[in-house]
Amino acid sequence: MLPKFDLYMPTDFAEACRMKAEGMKVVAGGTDVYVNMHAGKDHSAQVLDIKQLKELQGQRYVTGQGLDLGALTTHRRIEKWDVIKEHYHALYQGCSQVGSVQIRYRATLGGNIMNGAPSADSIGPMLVHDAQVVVAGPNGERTIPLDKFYTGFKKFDIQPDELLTRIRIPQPPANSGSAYYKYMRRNAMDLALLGVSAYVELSGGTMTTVRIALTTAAPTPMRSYQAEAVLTGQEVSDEVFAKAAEAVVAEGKPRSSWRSSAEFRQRLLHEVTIVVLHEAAARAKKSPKEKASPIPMQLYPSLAGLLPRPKEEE
Amino acid sequence: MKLTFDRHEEFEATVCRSTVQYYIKTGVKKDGTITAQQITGYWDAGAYVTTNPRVDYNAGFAVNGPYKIPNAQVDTYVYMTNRTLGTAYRGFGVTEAATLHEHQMDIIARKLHIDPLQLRLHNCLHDGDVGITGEIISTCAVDECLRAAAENIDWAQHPDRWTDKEGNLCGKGIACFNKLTGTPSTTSCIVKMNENGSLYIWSASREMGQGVTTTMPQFAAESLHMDLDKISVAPVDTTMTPFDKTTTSSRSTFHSGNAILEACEDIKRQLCALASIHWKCDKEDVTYTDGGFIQRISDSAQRIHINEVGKSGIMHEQLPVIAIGRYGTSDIFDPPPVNGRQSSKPTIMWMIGAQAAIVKVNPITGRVQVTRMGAAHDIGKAINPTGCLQQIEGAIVMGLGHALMEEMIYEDGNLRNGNMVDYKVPTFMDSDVETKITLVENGHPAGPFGVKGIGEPGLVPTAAAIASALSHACNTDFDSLPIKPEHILFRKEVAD
Repeated sequence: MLPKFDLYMPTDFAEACRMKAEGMKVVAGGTDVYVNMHAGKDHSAQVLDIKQLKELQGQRYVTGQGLDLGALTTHRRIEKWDVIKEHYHALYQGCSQVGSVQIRYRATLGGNIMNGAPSADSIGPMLVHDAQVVVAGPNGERTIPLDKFYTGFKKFDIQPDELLTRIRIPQPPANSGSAYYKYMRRNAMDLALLGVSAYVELSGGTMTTVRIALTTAAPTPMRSYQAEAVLTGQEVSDEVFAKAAEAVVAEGKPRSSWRSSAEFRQRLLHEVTIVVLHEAAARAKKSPKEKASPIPMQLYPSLAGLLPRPKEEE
Repeated sequence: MKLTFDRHEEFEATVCRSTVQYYIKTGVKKDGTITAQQITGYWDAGAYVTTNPRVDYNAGFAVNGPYKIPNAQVDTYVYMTNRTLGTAYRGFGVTEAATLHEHQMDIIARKLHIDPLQLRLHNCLHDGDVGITGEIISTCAVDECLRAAAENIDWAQHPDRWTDKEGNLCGKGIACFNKLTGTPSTTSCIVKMNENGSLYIWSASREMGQGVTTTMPQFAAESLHMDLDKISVAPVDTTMTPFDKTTTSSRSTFHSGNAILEACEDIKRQLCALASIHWKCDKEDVTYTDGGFIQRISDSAQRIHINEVGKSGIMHEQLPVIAIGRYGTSDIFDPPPVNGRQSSKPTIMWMIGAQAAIVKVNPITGRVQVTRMGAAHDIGKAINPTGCLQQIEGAIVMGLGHALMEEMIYEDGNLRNGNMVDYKVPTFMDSDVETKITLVENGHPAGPFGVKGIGEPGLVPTAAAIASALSHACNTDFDSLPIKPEHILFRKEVAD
């Protein structure tokens, strides 16, 4: 049952920052905060609802510049926005697979970042699209690259009197493509057991820029810089993707838990990385309109058995 | 008193389907004829022993499957652990039993290079055969069900396993079962004719989505030839509703139906008596016709249809029309004595059916899609065909969870996944299975209008059929449920 608490819904940004500094629990969509309160994991007596703050609202796409998203932008808004499907396809794939339609109508991108879950589905795609976050408080605004914003498990580069206000994602060039694969036990209403995001810029057959991010592989969503280094400047090929996959496994260091064994997670990370890289590279070759369409997973049944794999359990 | 559990407590401290482990040894001739079977089984009752020994007992009759086995020995044990209390779960042990004996049949088929369907058809029981307890089997349409279920997925057109054009591993599988209903058991009902001509049924058979509050009025409507919308069912409260043993065991339609038919016969007699008073004639001069008319024999123009009986005035200021119906199976039951002889009649009805599955496995991720399910169930007589189909369809979706997802994970003695995030049940998005169902209607001699139960049977062979198809698709031998992607990716393939 939801415990009793005082709810504050300020419209003034400075007042909201002051309230947060006093230790109030910040809530936007409430799909994490209220769930935790229901489960008895959060006993906050004062809850600060920030949905009235215009500084956090709205979303805009400017051709050539990119996205300026208010922290209150919902997953459903992202899911239903053609611009996202065409230019930021990984973000579409991430946001459209969160929970259920009802949850996606409430859950916000800002909330997904600030909840700090390693399994957050929007973060990997934003990392590979080189997103920056804007935090603001009484001392003004700061812009921070998203992968520097995480400082540890549920820890962020943010002061007690600051709020995450906006997310900015640059315009990807026409020769780029991105993809996200969320590994779930079922087709909806599930957390990512594991996720891989990839962004590839292609020049001829050569990958000029590559970014890879891992979901549920570490205490925070993370970039896999070593795998990126393996790929940058290389031609697209199964062999080079397999090498990158090994680097991802080495960097991701998945651990065993009752949810699944490390061996299984390693195996999946390996396979899913290859799948996602192929999809991102395939999307990079397509026109903006075609980039919006799903690309069927390539299974390579003949190749799957030949690729080097992490050692399996005896 | 009000008892409140949070979700984790509900998982940990109420009841669940118990863990069960069986060892099956089968003697088979080269042509596939089964000669003997020895079975040893272990059931985890959890922290208390309540229903589990009865679940075990019930499964013991069914764990050889609907097969002709001249020599059979079944030894099973119930043990206690500090886990969640084990109990019956849609099938009363037979869901588990079917998964076990059908897995055994698949191993036999593979070793003897016999088509899994042909092996089952070769050994399955027919009316007049002797079951494992010495019972002479009747109303057992397993042959028909196997053929129909197979036909519903185009069995003959598919090999055991193949790879589709995208590279998915595909396979087909089939499973059949025979399920008992709790015997002996008794039930009763009160049927009351109101003065306005409407009918009211008091029964303790509880609606739980299985449709019993539809089928009970259907029996009365059919018996009396009365409009269904004039009949209603009382809410259930054990302080005042007449006794019914349980709403379990797929028994309600069968047992309550018989009780209602008996009560309705009495209603007819009482109405005829009131009509004779009204018409000032001998009681013997009034009859109840098949068309629902209370009719004077000597003057067929004098008649009242059951739908008009309220307006007719025959009940006005007369003795109320109310009847009791009772039904029980104590008389047919053959209780096995402790000296070891088996019951020659362990159940009033055997519920029979078969399901076949086609699955598709992504070899990279180990994720499974059940693409087609073909089902055929011997339901005796479908008095509510839509209801029967819905029961089976719903059960198949439930079985997806049983086969692929649902498990209680313990670590250091603690239940880890006692919540709806970590205990995976299929969502609507996981239920995209092309389902084709055949209802086999042979009529059960003791069933009201020939019906048998269908509440649980839809689930009984589902996981078994999916497991069979998955083992074929992955060329391996999955020997536990659920079958998860890690089992698929780390499988040991079997030699052809």
